[in-house]
Amino acid sequence: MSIIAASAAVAPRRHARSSPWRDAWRRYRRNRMALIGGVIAGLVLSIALLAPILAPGGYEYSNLAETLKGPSPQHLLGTDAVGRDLLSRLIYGARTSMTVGFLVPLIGALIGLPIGAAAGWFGKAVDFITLRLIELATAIPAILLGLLLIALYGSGLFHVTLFLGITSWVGYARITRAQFISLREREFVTAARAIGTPAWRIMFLHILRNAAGPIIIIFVLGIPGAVFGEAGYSFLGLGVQDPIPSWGKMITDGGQYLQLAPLVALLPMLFVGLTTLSFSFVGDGLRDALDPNAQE
Amino acid sequence: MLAYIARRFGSLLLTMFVLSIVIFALMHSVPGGPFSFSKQPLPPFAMENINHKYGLDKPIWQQYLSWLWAALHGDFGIPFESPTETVTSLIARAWPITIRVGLLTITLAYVFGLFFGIVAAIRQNTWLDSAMTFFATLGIALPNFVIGFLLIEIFAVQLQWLPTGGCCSTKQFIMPVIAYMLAPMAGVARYTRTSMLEVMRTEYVTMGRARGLPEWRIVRRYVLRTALIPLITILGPAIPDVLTGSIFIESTFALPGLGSYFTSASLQRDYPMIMALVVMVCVLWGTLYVLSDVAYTLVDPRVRLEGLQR
Repeated sequence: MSIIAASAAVAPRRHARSSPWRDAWRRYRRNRMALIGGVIAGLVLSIALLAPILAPGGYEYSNLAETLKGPSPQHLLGTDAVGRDLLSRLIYGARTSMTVGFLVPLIGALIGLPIGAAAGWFGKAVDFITLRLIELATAIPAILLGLLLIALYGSGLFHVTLFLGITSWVGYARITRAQFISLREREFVTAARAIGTPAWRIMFLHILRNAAGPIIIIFVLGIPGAVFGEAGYSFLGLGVQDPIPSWGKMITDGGQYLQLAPLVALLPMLFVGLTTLSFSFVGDGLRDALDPNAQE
Repeated sequence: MLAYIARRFGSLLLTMFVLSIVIFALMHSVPGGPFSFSKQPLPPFAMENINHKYGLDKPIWQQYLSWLWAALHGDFGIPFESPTETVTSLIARAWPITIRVGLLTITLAYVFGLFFGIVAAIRQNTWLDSAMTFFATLGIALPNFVIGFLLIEIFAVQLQWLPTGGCCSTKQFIMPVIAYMLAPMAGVARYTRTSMLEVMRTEYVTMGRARGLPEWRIVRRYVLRTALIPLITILGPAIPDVLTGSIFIESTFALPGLGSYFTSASLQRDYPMIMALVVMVCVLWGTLYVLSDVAYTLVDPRVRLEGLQR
């Protein structure tokens, strides 16, 4: 009796185990770099979320009597050129990076998804216009367009996030369009249509769900891109403005003191590098895990 | 084929036309201008005079049309940030530096990228392969200005082997090129590896092996020939990116190339300069895109271009 009961209890679990998401997770787990990347990415994210608790002091408090000091008990990693605690600034810098890192792909997806979905679903004129729009958007590098927008409308965290976001829609539109075109003629869509499911329901519940994999990959790979973009603009002095800490800005500011206090520039570099790297590994891992044609 | 190319260039011209309108409108969509009071506190009549001189007092559509007319005749106007020369001469002065760095970067990135990619594919699933994959991701993920600063810290500040920046001796080009080439090199390496592995699984390669051909011959004559074709498609769009100059690299190494003008022209609202740069990027991008598509069909007879009748 008990054996039968046990096997009956096991059976549905085995069934659940072979769902596509579980398969993906199993493939992801096998990729060591993706796992390590995931842990580091998670760490950076928690540092960003817990910044006020983790930071030993305020990021904006400056003490001009103690500039460019090395590590000491008061300032574990030393101070920057205007005497601000480096550790606190690095920790709050994670907040800036992660805000940009997640908002930028989100904005891009919010613009690109509907455009791509409409183009793929309706085809014809809608598709034609979308393709021309995509052509137009790729004709000028996003970084230059962003630069122009920042120059015209002003810098700052809000603007940088917004402009990086609205210049990143193309990838989402492209992949969503391709997915919609390949999925729209599948049997399950025809079936849904035959039983009279409204078009918006098919688009968002049936197709989008099946297109989720590639879109998630673009999203995750967009995170290091956005972190890079923010750091880059801030590095040029066009991004986040003082006193809000940004790793990119810290690199430029600290770069002038490489000889006196290398830590001031090297630590933010390390943080930018680790963050972009770890999210890239996560993205690559996801690509291999979610792509059904993934090569072993 | 010629008709196809002509059609593609026609479509490119249209894109450029629309893009120039969009950018022009965008620049004028924000109040203020290159000579606004906050930038240059001049008496009103002087301001009027300057605005009149550059035609900024006319309606926008008129400004656009006169820009277009002049641009079609090869005259891109006078850069506001350096009024003693023309936009064309400024670009002619700054661009060669960017081109030198860019061509070196592209060439080295491709040579080393191919090499590493081929090695990784041949030695698939060995430590060589995993090391290559790791460094490729490193090269793609690390921002190039971070790599640049690291190089400066190591080779200029600590070891003092190389100058921190400036132009234009050979020594001054070493670090910018290295910092700049890592990302494209990693991309090429990754692409080569994937593409080669795909071909190595095909039946004709198995067939070659079965016939007992030596491995190096299979790789050279059967795998590489097919596997390297897709690389053309990523070469095309990569060239304009590099030739228009990495803003970050030029800023890190104080190279007086074109990159810095993208920043300063945008910030100064230097309308003629921005327009010229946008047009330049668009022409480069579009031309190379078309050319790489055409090259693709020439190299690989299996590929048919969309809309091309035979």
